[in-house]
Amino acid sequence: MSIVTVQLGQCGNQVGQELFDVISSDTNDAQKYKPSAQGKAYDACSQERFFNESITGELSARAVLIDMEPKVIAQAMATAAKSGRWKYGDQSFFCQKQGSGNNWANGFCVHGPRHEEAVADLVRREVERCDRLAGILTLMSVAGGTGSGVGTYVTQCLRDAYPHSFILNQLTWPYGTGEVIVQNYNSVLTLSRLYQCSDAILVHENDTVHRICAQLMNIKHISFGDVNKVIAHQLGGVLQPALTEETHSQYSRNPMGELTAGLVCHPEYRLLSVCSIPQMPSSSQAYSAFTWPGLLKHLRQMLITSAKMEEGIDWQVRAPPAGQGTAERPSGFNRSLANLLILRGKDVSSASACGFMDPALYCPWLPAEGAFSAWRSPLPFNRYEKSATLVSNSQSLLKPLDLMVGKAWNMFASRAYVHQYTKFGIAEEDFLDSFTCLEQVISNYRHL
Amino acid sequence: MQRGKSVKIKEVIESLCKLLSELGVDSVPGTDTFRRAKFNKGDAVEDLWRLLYSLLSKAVRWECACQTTQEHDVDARARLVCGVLWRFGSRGPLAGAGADAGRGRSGGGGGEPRPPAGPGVGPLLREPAGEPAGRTGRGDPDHAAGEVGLSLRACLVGDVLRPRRALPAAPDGWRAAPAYRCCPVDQNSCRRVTPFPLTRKQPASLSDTMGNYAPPGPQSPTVGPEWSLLLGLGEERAAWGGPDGAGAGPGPGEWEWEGGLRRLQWEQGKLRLLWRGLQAAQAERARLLHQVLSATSGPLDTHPATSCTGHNKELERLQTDIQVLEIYLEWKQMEPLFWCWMDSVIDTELAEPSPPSHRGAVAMALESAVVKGARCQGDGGRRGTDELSETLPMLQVQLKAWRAELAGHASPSENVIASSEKARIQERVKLRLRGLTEAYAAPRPTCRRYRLRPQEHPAHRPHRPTKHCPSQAGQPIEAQASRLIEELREEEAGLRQEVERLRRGQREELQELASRLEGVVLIPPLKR
Repeated sequence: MSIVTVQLGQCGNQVGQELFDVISSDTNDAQKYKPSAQGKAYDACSQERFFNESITGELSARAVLIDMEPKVIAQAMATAAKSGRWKYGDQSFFCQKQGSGNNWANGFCVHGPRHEEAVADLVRREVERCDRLAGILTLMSVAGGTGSGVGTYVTQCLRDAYPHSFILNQLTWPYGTGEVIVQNYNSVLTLSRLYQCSDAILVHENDTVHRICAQLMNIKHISFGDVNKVIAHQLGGVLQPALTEETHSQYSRNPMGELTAGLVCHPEYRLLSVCSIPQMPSSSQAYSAFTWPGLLKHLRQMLITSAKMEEGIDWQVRAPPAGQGTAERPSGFNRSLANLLILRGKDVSSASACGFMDPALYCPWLPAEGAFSAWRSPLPFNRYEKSATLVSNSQSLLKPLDLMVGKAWNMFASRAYVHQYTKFGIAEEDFLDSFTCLEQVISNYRHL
Repeated sequence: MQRGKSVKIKEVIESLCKLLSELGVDSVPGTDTFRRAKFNKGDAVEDLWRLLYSLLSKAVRWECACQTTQEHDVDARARLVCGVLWRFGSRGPLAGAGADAGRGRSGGGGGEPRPPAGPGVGPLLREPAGEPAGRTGRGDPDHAAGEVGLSLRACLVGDVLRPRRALPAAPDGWRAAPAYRCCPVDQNSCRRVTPFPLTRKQPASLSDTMGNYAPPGPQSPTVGPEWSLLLGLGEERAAWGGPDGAGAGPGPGEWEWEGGLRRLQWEQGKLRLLWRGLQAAQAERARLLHQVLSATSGPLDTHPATSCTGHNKELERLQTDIQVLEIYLEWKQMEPLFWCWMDSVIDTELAEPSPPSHRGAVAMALESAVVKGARCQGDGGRRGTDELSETLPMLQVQLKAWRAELAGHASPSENVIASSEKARIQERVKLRLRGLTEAYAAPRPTCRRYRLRPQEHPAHRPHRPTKHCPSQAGQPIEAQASRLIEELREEEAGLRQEVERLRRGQREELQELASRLEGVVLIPPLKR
């Protein structure tokens, strides 16, 4: 049971490297803190899931690195090798010398098809090394050209090549203030296509993560590295082994299957957001004590108010009585379709997740028992004694999505930069199709 | 709507009708029907239902029973179309009465955005059920028909039968107003056809969003209890205004029905996902069983903790085998050189005079080894030299072929190694050849070398004609040759006569043909 990670573009490669670092470090810690059979099982499960062990005992990540520029890949590989705990496979990367120039169309219509065979071959090799493919995790941003354009193309190819495998796309959404002038175009085109071929789309917003870095992690000069660390922490919290409701005393061998089966069964709702609690600087961890009821109370309110961090939660917002329509809902209330709560740490069996079973949190047509699931792991994650991660299919992404599509539409209405896309083969009709698709997604979530 | 635009729209509708006719859709109405249907004229609406039914018929394979029951009943067809559209996406008013309701809602607020799509705007007939989105619909005629149906669903049901609020006209014929973030109905043809300005939040067909878990498509819809309920509800929902309360408001049963449908879709998706998980588990079990089998039946032991160890060992074994095969191939490439060299060595030996006792020993050895057909080439240095001259070009050709093959297969780094090896081999061969040449040019009487040749058949060694041993019993060679020459000459003469006859016949035929063509003068080629 293994997950093959496909890292695409600058962002995807950097996030991927951080993710493997977190996982490797966490696995080491698990062995250190719990040298019992439990720790060993966790370690073995995590290793099998993310790493390929050579005959000499070296761990190489089950990952394929793809970028149109060599710099980031070289850095990621060097950093991994320097860690001494793990490395990337020597032949598991594909890079070119010419980037995509932040143009989705260039990546999707030019680079993607041109290098399809080489990329597919790399992924196939990784897949063949797995005893069982639990799924494919693609890491990419939506703003640039390679991550979004090539990433979308690669995802489509993966869907064609592995029609029965689970494909989870982790997307990093750009800052609202703008990193790239055409980022909203790229985002719209990426999201609309991924919505058709991916099983689940797990979203991290740069703005939100940036706020976490500033307010919770107390980082003064926030770099992309800090942002990536937070994303990796949250992703690790989701993907590291846990005891699910189906597997009981054994770590799940089908993590992505269970995740998707719990959260994205309905094809019209595939957007997932993730939030973790607690998040703090490592120096503060030793001086903090948390209780499960306190953590879960905060997390529940974060879910209700669609807040991504525990600071500044609006405690006035309450869940409406179950069964109320859209019109009667209190403002600021975030309705969920499905939630997955992952608890890790000490005394996890005593933690009660009843608060998340409230039918008022969910849409009326899905009972809470079917909409909520919880995974647990008795081992602390990433040096947090207790931590909770919530993966939610809810309205929380509605607002940023609406904003993004709105900005893109305003640009498109004046045909700004459209010629940069049409010259690579993306017609105005393609834009319109993408807008239409996302409008439908927005509409669906709005009327949840 | 402005007059000029109406004229343009007419042309567009004409083009749509033409397209539909080209696609083989029956009952395509005229352009005026569309216009009349917009104003909810009864006769036009009926035509449009007929058209929609034709479109669905293109996209859907009806079951026989269904088709026969609907054949002549226009109302039933309309209900069926309603039901299918409702089931797969359109939550608009589905009957003619819906137009009134729609118009009633859209009476005021010309610039106001259209109410957002209802939650139940589901998928239409774009993807076959259960097929991954990435694998379907590419160049499929059914898919194309489905798209047309989709377009017309959005266009006709969404626009014609339910006029929406008019927005300021968009430029370039697009139904887009920037302030409203307009989107056209999701198909190109529809966008061009529809005479109404677009509104913000136009619901899309969810066929795009259905992806892998599209609910069972209308491949074989049957009018069972579910469909009866569905069709009935389709009619009831004529005045439905969406769950946001913007319209007349849903009835109490509709929400439940809607919720039930969503729940069903959710459960269906869940089942599909679970099935995929089970499939992966089954694959894993098969692999583990294979490992167990390999561990118990063969010498290759796989460690259970490190699952890939067995594979690595297998890989190593394969690599060793491959190495052996490569070496063997290398030998096969070298083998002709070896045999040529062996030939030349024995020729040299046979060419030179040697003591009778020794020659007898060689002959005996050859006979005892049952090397039948071995040639005794004792004609002296001349024949040896001839053979050598034959051998040399052959060697060169083989060497060239070998080099080319190596260069074709080897990587740049290997090429460097291969070229150095080749140079060494070439040098060795040259030395040997030089030695042989010298040996033939100036045979040394003291040389004592023998050759052992395998039995040689013409099929095995086609590059060399079989030569008869002069000492072999039979007719003298001269007699055979003269007879053969005579026979060949006779045969040649006969063939020449035949050729001449054929040529003459062809020439006459050509002349005859040319004489029949007017204005053509045949100038026969010169006689040879």
